[in-house]
Amino acid sequence: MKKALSAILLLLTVCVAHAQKKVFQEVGEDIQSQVKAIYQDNSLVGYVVFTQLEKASADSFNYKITIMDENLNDIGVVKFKENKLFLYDVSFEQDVLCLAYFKSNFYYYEFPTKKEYKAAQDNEKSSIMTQFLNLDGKIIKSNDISVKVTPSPYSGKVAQKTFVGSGSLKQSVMLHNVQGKGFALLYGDESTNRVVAYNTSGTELFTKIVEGESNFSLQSLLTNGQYIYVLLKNHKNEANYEVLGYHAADASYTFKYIFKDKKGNYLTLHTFGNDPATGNVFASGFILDENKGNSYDLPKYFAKGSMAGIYTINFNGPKKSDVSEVYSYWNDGSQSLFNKRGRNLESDTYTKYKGAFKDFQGNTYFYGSSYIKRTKIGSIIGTVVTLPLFWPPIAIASAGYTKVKIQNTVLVKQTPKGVLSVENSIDADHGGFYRTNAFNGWSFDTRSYYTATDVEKKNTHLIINDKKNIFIYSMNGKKVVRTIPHKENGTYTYVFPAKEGHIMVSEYNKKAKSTTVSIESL
Amino acid sequence: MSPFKPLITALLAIISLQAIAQNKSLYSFQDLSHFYYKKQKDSLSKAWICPALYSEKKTQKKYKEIWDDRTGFLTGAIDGDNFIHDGEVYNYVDGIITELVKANKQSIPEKPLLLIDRSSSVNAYALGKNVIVVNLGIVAFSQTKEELALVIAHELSHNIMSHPDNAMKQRAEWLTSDEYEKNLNAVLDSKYERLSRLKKVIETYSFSRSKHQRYHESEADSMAIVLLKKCNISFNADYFLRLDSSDIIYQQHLKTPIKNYFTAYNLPFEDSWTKRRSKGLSTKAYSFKDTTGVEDSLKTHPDCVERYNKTKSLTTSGAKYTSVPANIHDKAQKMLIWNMYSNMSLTPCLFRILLEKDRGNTDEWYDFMLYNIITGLYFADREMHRFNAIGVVQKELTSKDYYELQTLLEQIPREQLEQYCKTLQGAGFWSHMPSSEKAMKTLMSTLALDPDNSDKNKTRAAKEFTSGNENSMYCEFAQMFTK
Repeated sequence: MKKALSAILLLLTVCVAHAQKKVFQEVGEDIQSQVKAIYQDNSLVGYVVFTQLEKASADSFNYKITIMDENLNDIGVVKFKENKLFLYDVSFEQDVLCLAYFKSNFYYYEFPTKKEYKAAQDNEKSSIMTQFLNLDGKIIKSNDISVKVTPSPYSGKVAQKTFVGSGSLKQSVMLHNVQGKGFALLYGDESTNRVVAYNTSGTELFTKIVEGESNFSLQSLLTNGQYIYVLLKNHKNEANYEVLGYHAADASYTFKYIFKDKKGNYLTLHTFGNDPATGNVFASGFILDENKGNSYDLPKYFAKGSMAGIYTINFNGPKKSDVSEVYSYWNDGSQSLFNKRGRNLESDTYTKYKGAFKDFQGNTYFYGSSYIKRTKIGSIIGTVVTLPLFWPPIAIASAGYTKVKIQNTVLVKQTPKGVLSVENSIDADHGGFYRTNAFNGWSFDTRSYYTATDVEKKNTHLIINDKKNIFIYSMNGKKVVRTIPHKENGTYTYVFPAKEGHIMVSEYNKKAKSTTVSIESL
Repeated sequence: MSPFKPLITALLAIISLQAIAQNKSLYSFQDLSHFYYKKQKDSLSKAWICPALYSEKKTQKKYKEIWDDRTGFLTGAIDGDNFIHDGEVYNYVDGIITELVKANKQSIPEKPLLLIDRSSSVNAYALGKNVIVVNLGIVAFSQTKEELALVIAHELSHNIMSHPDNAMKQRAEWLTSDEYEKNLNAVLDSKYERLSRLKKVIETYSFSRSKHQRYHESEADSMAIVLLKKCNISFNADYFLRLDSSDIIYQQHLKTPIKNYFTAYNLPFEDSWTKRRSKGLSTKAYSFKDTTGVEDSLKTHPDCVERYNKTKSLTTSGAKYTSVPANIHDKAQKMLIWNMYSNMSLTPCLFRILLEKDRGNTDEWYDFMLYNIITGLYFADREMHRFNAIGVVQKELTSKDYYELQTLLEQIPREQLEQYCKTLQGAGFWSHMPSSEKAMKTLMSTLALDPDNSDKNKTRAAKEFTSGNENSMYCEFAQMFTK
């Protein structure tokens, strides 16, 4: 009897503990957060943590927005109730924060029965919600633009007792501040793509339908003063871009530019950004050589000269005549540094540029990982020797006859007149030879890049995120100013963009299972 | 006999006195709690056995959990060197306790164990089990012995009235009560606003607890005044008002522009370093209504003004007050500064040094600490930890001078910082520094300026320091690199 009583008591104790744990666990499951950086004129000015706290009613949730300054200090909290929201973008202008959400009374909801799921689907209403907050924490205005969303094939039953409305917008949602005026919003749904301009009170200035060639996607949204630029990509061709222009105060203004050089070559695009000195929008990338088949899936095809050169297009003003195009061809043999296939004659390397930035004098700098290509002579001999056999030559051929090895990161300068020169060759992590075939393509190049511009010091830093280290290259110093190992003494380090002239350093200590974040000066 | 001989002898005596004073370390490495209280910690872990108070197993179990948490908190704090047992400050505070115990034998039959917490927070606390903890922050803040005695008597009163023990019991009872379980189940049963409901359950408990605690605080205040009176220690209710301003140290203004403190060391200075260049939200004028702070009803301590009003009639009339001896005050202040430095909390540490200079303090130990801060900052920059070492806070929380100092530490160019380190290395004050401070200079130089930035080199330099200065309080810092 005593034993049974003890067992019951133990069970009750467990039940209380369990109830407590269960309630915290279940309440915790409803809490979801998104962190977004707040940008103004391409500068990071702060962060928002957008948190869904709990379900408030059948179709609404309680939300909390925590606003942090650029040093990650909390400066305010705003709470509100809404339908299901997904935060896409945040921007800041004239002491007003604008947040762009996808809002729905059906998508991303969980329904306990199929009947409720169906009923909600029949009454589905989705929109893009723009919310305007001032620095007193007041929601000045919220706007809703109705959007059409098609449920995904996975919408419906996803778990034993749960039915989830699943689907997403056809295009992304982008937001950018318009200097001295307000904000520009870009979005696309199943039926249309639109750019909408608002003033800082949240009043709509205009809505324009974005009309490009068929089958295009929205790639980017930029502004320069009151001009708004939308970048589109046509999916019929890998390198088929166009830019559309609008004016925040002049609804009648239109601008259209299709990316093609004078010879009709398509242009790949690796950077669409603002000139740090003038604010003008520019684009840069490779000029594809139509005669070489446009294929650059593999390093070996790239080395055959699929690129005719590199270009920069400067959108210096509102008219087409303000657009200046700078083309630097190497396929015509006019470059002393490169052969007709784009090979650097001095280092015997090829470089697939991954991006570009502008300095404060109007020059464009292209950056990317260089590589050397070698023929696998052993494989060729092996194939010839084993030709009388059936499988061995096929096996050897499938591994490919070329191998590549990553070399330094290269910075190539293009002057406003199109003259090319190698600015610097940056020693990063080293690697061995990789075979290249259809399966691994460019995977040997694991370096990723981004740039951080300090307008006050008129300097740009190129951040090279390599396999073992992060290298920070200073343009003014013309050298790597910091080398940060990714892994050291059980700590994993990553860097992210931060406020002007800084990077965010995140360190994960595996042993302590803790992460520290720091905003460090470049 | 030379007529100057007595003068020379006197001068030599003054110089040697100064040298003795400077050679005397604030405390030794062995005074830190992990070392000093090692035996007590082990015996305390064994002796603090949870009493069987409840017949209900779940309540007893919860009570034991809370009891063990308290033991764990104390032993953890001892291991973490949160406490210090130096000679002077400890004995001074302990002396006040002895006086109070002696005069109040009936209420306090056994003298409590005193622990000095290294925290800069202006506070003290009673742990129950006849243990009270006094922070260095309140020792440095108190102007008179009577002020400090009031704080101590207040904490003794908590222990006399078993407030900490009762709070643990109440917590165990609440967390295992049917009402609490019912409320939690109601949260689970509800479809909507579960978080709000859960918060309400917790707030209801916190409110009831806070209400009790506020009442306990008033009780402790009243009893403290009785304890003081029996001991013939004067009471002045004004101290409650002074306590209200205890957290505004970083909102104080400096006597001269920041530039002057640096140029005094022949360090080049540009005003632009103190002006924030950021385009970020920190520079904007914002005024979000803070909805995340503690509700007034949930505060555990009553307002200082309320405490003042309740007790002002009991202020001893015509009382004379004894100042906290200058050496105790200075030592507590220095210990605080060193502790902040060890925790790499550089801006508050430097600001406190500048405040000392404003008070006319010419002790060269502060120059030594300024060198440590500058080289520590350069070292932190090298390790990509500059931001955290500065502890960037919002402009609204500090004075303009503090904010400028923080901005300076953030924006001073790396090359200038290096130059600062080198210039300070050649400063005149080093010639009077004791050997352990000089050894610390060498260690900081290796950490910040040695081209060999390897862990191996840092460990070597730190080991070199600890082997030659095994009793030095600075071993605490060096040890971070030897492990």
